[in-house]
Amino acid sequence: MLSPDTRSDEEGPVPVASSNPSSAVRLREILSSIKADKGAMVGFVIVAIFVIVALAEFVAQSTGFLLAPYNPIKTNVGPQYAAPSLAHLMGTDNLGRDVFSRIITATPNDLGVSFTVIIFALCVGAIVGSYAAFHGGILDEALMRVTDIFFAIPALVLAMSIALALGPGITNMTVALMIIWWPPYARLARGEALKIAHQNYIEAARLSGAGRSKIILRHVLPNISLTLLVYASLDIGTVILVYAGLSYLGLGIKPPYPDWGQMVSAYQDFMLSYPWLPFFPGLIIALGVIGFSLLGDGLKNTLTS
Amino acid sequence: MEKEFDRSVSLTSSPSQSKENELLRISNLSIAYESKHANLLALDNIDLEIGQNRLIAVVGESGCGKSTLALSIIGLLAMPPAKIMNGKIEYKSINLTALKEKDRRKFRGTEIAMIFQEPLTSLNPVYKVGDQIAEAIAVREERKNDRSMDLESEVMQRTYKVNAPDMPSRLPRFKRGGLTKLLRDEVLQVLKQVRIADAEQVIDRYPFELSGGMRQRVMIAMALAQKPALLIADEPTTALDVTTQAQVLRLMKELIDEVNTSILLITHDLAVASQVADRVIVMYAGDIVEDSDVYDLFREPLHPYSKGLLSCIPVGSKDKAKLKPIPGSVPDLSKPFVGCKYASRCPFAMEICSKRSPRLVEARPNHRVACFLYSGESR
Amino acid sequence: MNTASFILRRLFLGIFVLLGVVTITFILAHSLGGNPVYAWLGRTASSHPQLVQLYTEKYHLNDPLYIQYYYYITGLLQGNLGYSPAKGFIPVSQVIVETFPYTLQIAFFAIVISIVLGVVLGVVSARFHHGPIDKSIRAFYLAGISSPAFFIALILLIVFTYFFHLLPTGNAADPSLLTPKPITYIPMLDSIIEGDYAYFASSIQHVILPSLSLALGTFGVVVRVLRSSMLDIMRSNYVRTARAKGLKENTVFFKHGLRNAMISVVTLSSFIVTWLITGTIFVENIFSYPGMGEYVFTALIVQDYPGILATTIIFAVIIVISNLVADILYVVVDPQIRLG
Repeated sequence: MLSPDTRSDEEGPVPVASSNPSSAVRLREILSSIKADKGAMVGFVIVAIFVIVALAEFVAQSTGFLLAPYNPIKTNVGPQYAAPSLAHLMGTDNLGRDVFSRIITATPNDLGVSFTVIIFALCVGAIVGSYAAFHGGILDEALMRVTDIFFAIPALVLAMSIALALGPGITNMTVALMIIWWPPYARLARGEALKIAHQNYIEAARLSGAGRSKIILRHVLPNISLTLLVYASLDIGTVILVYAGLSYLGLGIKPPYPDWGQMVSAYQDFMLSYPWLPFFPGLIIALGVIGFSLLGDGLKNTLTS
Repeated sequence: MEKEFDRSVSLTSSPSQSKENELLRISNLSIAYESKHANLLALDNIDLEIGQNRLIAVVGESGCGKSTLALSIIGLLAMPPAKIMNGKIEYKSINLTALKEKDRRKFRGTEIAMIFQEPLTSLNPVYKVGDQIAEAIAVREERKNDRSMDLESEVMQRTYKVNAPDMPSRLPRFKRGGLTKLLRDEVLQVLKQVRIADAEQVIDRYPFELSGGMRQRVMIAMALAQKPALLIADEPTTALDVTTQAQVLRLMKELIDEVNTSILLITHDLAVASQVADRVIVMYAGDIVEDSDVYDLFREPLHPYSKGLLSCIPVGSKDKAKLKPIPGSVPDLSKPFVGCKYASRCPFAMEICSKRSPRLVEARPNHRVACFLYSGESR
Repeated sequence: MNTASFILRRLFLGIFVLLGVVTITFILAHSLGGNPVYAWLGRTASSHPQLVQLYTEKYHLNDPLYIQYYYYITGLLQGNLGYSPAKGFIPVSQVIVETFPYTLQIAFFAIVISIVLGVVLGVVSARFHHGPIDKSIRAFYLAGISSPAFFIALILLIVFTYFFHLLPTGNAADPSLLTPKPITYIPMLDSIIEGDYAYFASSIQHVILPSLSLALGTFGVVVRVLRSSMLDIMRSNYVRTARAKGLKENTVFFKHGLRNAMISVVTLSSFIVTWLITGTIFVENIFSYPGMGEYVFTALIVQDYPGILATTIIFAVIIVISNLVADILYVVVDPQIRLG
């Protein structure tokens, strides 16, 4: 007799239950399906450009080499308030600095903060969440309640309060975001771990005498990592937005060093006469976030279908 | 009384019955599921007719095309991916496959109704049972009043049965003062018709508050409320436990004459078919392989596949030893196929079986089979 | 009965969460120079040692931590949120009473706009999915949710105020008009009650751009969730049943599809409220709207610790309350929770 959940028994072609292909095969599948999805492809290209620029600029900065066309900090590299032109792609600011160069210089900061925060949240969240799921009891309850508390304070507001205690600056902001960013990941990891906790291969590992840590490391983390990664890929954009907000509020990197959000707030005063000044940094933030969310959407569709 | 008359007609006449008694005729119907990689032929030149006030069971294993058949009759097949390659479905001499969706819709519910395998997910979780049945009644009433204004009014008048009292035609407004007295009474009546004793309570329940058997009764009530001439039941008892299953089956059997309808019962379970059906159609890999009166089929199955299926049914404890599965598996329907699709599993396979596909022929009176063993073509 | 206990449980959870938030601010207050007195006095602490003395005694700041914690909470419960250096040392509680109603006005319109826009576009998107309309809507909302609130606000400000001179900016209403006498403390409501329609009209004009800037950042989430849940539901078994009944496709879509999809929209309310609160900090500043967000912004610039910590608590209270409202709403729209 059929069990109730075999209802799709003859609705035509039934999707083949995915066996567990090797990760290399999996990666190739993902790449090819991203190629097929126009939106994801656009996202991929945007993200690739941002990441390449960030990496190149990072290398350039640490070797003292200048990647941007002009020195981003030096004043009067061009006339003041120049409109966008071939010499100054995004114009120049009130101090005659090249806006395009400043945006490029800021790229490794902005992307660096988001990747650091996301990777930290991913690791801490996955471990704490799956451990809580398997340990159960007080630890689990404590995790749920702590995350409840974190959910009640907007990330930006909490980061602001933490900034008051730690002081502004890019490092402190990264730390503040790291502190508040992991709870959703722990929640997600816990839920996913609970889903697989009673599956046969976990039971088998348990019966064969594997310890809790070993089960989590060997069996749970590899199985929940995909869901977490998809969530993280969609989340990178959010970190960029929140960090842009903090830097707009003057809590990020200290001037004269540039940051996208800080540039918008600095150029806001000139927006009536020179609207492109705050427009370009704002556009770059939006573009970066769009890129990451398109790519994340594409990954989600590929991996969850 | 009418039932007796009906049976005598069907037993004495040939399977292609007289036009008056015929409700549905399917001829040469082929349906494929199209995808980027392959086309899967789900139905392969199906021929079938259904008379009035009959309970016909379509039996076959998963993937044989029985649900595709059911959905294509009511017109709920998702197209694409499904595509009708050729053939037609005639309902009361009207070719449904040629109709536009707008006109096609008017046959749904009031002419051809359908109930599904999983009553829980098939009922809307946020509306009360009574409201959902009332909605079905409202559709029926709306059509009765509107049919003169229809473009296809001639067609509709020809097919429509008017035998319900006059009712407000407006769709019932849910959650706003509830149902009108008239509508509520009719809902109660329908619920009682499907043997729900505490109809007064059930009418105000949400689907998730009912048991599985109760939900399926509600589904049946909802379908019958529209007074359809043909009710398609797709695995209606599969999700139910054995006792409930028997009750629901008995109910369907009893209702045939009570509400003047035919039932097309789709099932994978020959035992279910044997309990209630007048006639059994056995399907295999998109083909009808046998089509027979229920008594004849169980007394003497002709097709080797039917024989195999019958030996899969446990009949009493003694026969346990005889219970044997059919070896092999269904051929890949996404590739062009030559010959009999069952040949690879058939103990009686002959040379011709892999070269040509057998046609459905009348081997005995009222008993069609698609097998070279009976076609006289074998060499 | 069941509903009541469900909501009661949620209420307890909310109180617990608030206690947690207070604890976090307590810890933060302690890390500001080791003495929470800075959390109440801000910069004045260093210039007025006698005040520090007074507070230290009043709130037992030389006692063990748990006693301090007790006095910190009782202080908060008595409305002691400290004194705001950013606003000339008036009590923070007073600042909040003055500014919060304006934020409420913006938030109300922002929520209405984002739900209406989100539901309408989500429905259109789902109805014509994968078509050009669906794709344009996706591009539109993607641009909205990907842009920082301050960026959207700047663009709206430049376009509507300076290029087209369509809408005013600065203040919550025309400054030449007298603010209505406080009855509900929400100026817009008060103006209607008192029949001051000039003020009401002016305040509507002033609220459009800020609330639109916030809504443009949040409606996309509604579109996205509604669209995907509509597409799932339209493939569900009960929609198939509705079609089998012979219902018109529009009836199936709205009565059976949308009604169920709205349940998933309710779950978004927490996200939307959080995002709006964050947004007010930027948007009110850009439009010089005298709400709580603008206060946070100025407090941040002058390092007004009492203001920041107090508003953190207030924000948490708003979020906890809105979650509670969402829970109740959820019970209303989904009978399975109401009775299950």
